[in-house]
Amino acid sequence: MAHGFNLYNTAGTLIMNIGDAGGVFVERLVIAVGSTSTKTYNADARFSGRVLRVIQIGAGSHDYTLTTSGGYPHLTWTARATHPTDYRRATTLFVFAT
Amino acid sequence: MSYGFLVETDAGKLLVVDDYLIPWFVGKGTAGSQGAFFDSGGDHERSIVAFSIPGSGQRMLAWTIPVDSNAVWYQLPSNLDSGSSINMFCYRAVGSGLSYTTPECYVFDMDTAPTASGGYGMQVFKADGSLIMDSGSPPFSAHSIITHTIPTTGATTSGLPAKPGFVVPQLDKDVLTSTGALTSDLEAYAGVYRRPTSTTLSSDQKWYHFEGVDSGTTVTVQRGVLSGQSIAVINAANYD
Repeated sequence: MAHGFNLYNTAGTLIMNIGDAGGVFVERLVIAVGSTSTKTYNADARFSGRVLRVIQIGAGSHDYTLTTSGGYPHLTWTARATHPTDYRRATTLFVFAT
Repeated sequence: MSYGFLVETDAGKLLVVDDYLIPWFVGKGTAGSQGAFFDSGGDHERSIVAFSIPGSGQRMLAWTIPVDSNAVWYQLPSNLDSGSSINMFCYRAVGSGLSYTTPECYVFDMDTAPTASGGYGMQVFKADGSLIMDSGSPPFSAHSIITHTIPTTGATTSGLPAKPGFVVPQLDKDVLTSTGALTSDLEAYAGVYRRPTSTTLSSDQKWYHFEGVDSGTTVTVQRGVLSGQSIAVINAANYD
């Protein structure tokens, strides 16, 4: 690190490093069963020029894509139409911004 | 942000924003013993290890994936909404007789303010006065973020720390094949991961369960998206 911010604990272990990849968790997003239309999670001006990423922490019946519109990242999802109703589940995502 | 506290990485990525709680390390999961392999009706059988999970509320789980040239695969939950235990599964081909190493589990609280240590160090507060970071409660920090597609064989993961921990996407699949007007055979698959070497990561869906069900339909139900997701990687040694 040439300059900037690192955080150490009292044992001298580096616990936050500006050389890391970074990422701030901004939302735990639950897409409910029955969310069949296309919807979006909209980042706002704070995230202009940032990148949204997701970790799918609960597998469910939705496709989703990350797009950018108006300079802000968006997460768009839709239910997968081929799923029989009996087998649909909610999808749960950790959304984080870098 | 017009005021407050924001830290970026060297590469200009967000590291701390005072609007958002940073998941913080509450401890490691305590592994029980490896269960006998079961579910040998598919092409893979599996073994359970029950983990006791510290903390409460919603927690994120990062796992070490033991390096093993043998084809043992791990199904690793990345989230616990409530409660204090969770199961990890290891898969092996039926008849292979392979053994495996139990992974380590690192638990991060996503819900509640970190424990205020006070006295020294650094704290960051939200505008409403709630604590979002305390240097006495090690914050989650993604060393790397891997964009991953399932299945992948031996994706190179160079540049990872010596002891990486992974927060992995979840998925499963049911394959139903009609065997009559009202009956079907069901094959159940799960999304699994392995590290054949210290610099590669593989993923797949393994068939582990078979049963006859009342259905009569032929359909494949995939739950979860197979590409375009992220795997967050921590430097697990920082939390030991």
